[in-house]
Amino acid sequence: MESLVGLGHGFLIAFTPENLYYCFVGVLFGTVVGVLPGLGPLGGIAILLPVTFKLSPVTGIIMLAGIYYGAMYGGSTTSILMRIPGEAASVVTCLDGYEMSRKGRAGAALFISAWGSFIGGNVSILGIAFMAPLLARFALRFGPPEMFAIMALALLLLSYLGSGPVLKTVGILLLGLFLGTVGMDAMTGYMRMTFGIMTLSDGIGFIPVAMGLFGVSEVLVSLQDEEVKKVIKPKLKELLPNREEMRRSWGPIFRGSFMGFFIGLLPGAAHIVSSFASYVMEKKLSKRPQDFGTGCIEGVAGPETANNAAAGGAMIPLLSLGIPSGPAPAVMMIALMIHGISPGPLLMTQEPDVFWGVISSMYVGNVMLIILNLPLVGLFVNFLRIPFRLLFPCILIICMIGIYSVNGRIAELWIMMISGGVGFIMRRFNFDIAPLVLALIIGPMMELAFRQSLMLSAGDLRIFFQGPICLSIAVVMGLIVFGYFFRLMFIGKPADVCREET
Amino acid sequence: MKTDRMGYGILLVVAAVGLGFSISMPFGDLQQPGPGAFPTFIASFLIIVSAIGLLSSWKIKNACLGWHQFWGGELKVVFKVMIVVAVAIYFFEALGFLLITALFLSIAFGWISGFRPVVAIGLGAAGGLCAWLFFVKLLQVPLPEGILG
Repeated sequence: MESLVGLGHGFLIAFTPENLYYCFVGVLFGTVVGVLPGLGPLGGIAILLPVTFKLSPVTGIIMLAGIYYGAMYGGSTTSILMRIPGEAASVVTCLDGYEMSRKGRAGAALFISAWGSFIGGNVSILGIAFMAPLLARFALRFGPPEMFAIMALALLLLSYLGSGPVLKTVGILLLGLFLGTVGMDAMTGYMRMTFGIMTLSDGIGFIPVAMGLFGVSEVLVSLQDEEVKKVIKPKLKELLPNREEMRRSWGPIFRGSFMGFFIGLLPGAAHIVSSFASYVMEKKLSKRPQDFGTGCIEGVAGPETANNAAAGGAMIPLLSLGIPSGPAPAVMMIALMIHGISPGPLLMTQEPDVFWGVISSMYVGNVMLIILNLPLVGLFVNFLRIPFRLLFPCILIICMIGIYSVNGRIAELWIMMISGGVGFIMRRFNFDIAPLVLALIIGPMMELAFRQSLMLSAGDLRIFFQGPICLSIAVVMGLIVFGYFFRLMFIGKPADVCREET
Repeated sequence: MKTDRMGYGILLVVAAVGLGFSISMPFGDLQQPGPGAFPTFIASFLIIVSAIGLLSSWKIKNACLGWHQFWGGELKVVFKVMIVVAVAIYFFEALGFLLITALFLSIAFGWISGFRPVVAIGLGAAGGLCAWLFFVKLLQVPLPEGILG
């Protein structure tokens, strides 16, 4: 009942003209960002972050959330029409979506993708509305040891479920945690590895690092590949799927919604994992698994639904625990913090307008997206005609403006540039960069919780295994580690240890 | 040279340097951990992980990415981009946002994208003006005015 009242209150906020306008701007920009290869949801959010400074916190976060799930929608368009995934979660949609396009069913694939995304998005929003308050209330019982344990679990899951090899992900996570220790020590005021640079006393800024790793390095990588691919243009009259396609899509959409939502709760590349998991599940459940990869509607409906549901699910840890589950929610967390709002268990009671306004605006945004995506698909595809050599200087200058406008510090622009170079090298060495960004933001919180816990227990490390919450988390972590080594020893090493790219 | 080996090698060096800095900070004790405790713990763990990675990468027979590909023509473009970005950052406050945006775009379009100089300057000037109108006038983002201020 409380959730329904909260949702009602949220709708009153979401339906103000200003919030509707910025929600529209967010989903429109997000769709464009999702369509353009090379600019993911994080880049899009970071670019428009300065715009939110002039807005109220709730309006700003509504716009940023709009970019986030708009990009998820947009990513599927290029996968289906060009076999170019606009963002990583849409990779699996290429398999059957593009094949459907080649068979003249592009319109149906786009419709099912948009419809599935809409259903998945709405299921996850309902999930947030009912689960986030429960989790937030539960999280009020968390002390420093519980917070440390849950963050350690988040990082462990990130290593295990990440898109790269486990050892590399762990290495990058640790590097991120280490970089998170740079700056003034929160407990003693001691300057750590600042080398006399004042900007570093606040720590290595998350935004410049994220923009460098995701924006600048993406530009550097994309500059190497400017192949122009053929675009299959769908006709409006072919947009509606036939009865058989609709019938076959319901199951994958239903399963994808729930699977995506729950995978979305996990940290890391949840939206990517969810789309692959849904594809595998649909293939296993199908009576005609051999049809997958040849233009099977289930191969589009399931993954597209799942990745949008995961995007919604990812908002739960952010809003109720104050722990971002991925780089894009982390930028949203920064945006809230710039406005003086700390996401976490108290957000719902202290800032109900933000909490419920954002959730309700996601419904509105989903409706806007389905209206935008279907008739305007031809228009969005035209963005791909802009040559990258014309686009990249604009992306770089927008990145610089975005970073400078946050704190007005030139040093942060240098951090962005260095991070861009480092990100480029890391990508060339097949390291996944997302965990570094996430660890950089979780690191200081984790250290604080770690030290507070030890002070509470007078140095007794058993505090991390005492109490039902810590103990349960420790058991789960133990099982994950055991499962990984079991798989390594008895089933074999994962194939992704070394990706053959030559 | 294998990229995996090189990647873990760099990580190991970074971790060793990090550990060097960390141990120079007050460590404290378990009851009252000092500012050096957490970084030391993390850097040590990173050394172990990168060392394991380095050792395991020796077993991999095939190179993930050849050096010739990594250091080939692509790095030239990367260097060009980095130089233009570095120059833009260096003069960002001195020259001001409008001028530096126009210059940055002109140089990037001309030197990296390969447009003719007249086209590059035209695009740069137009881009700079659009950015100024959008960010400064419309969104009122505080950006340096530099010599035009």
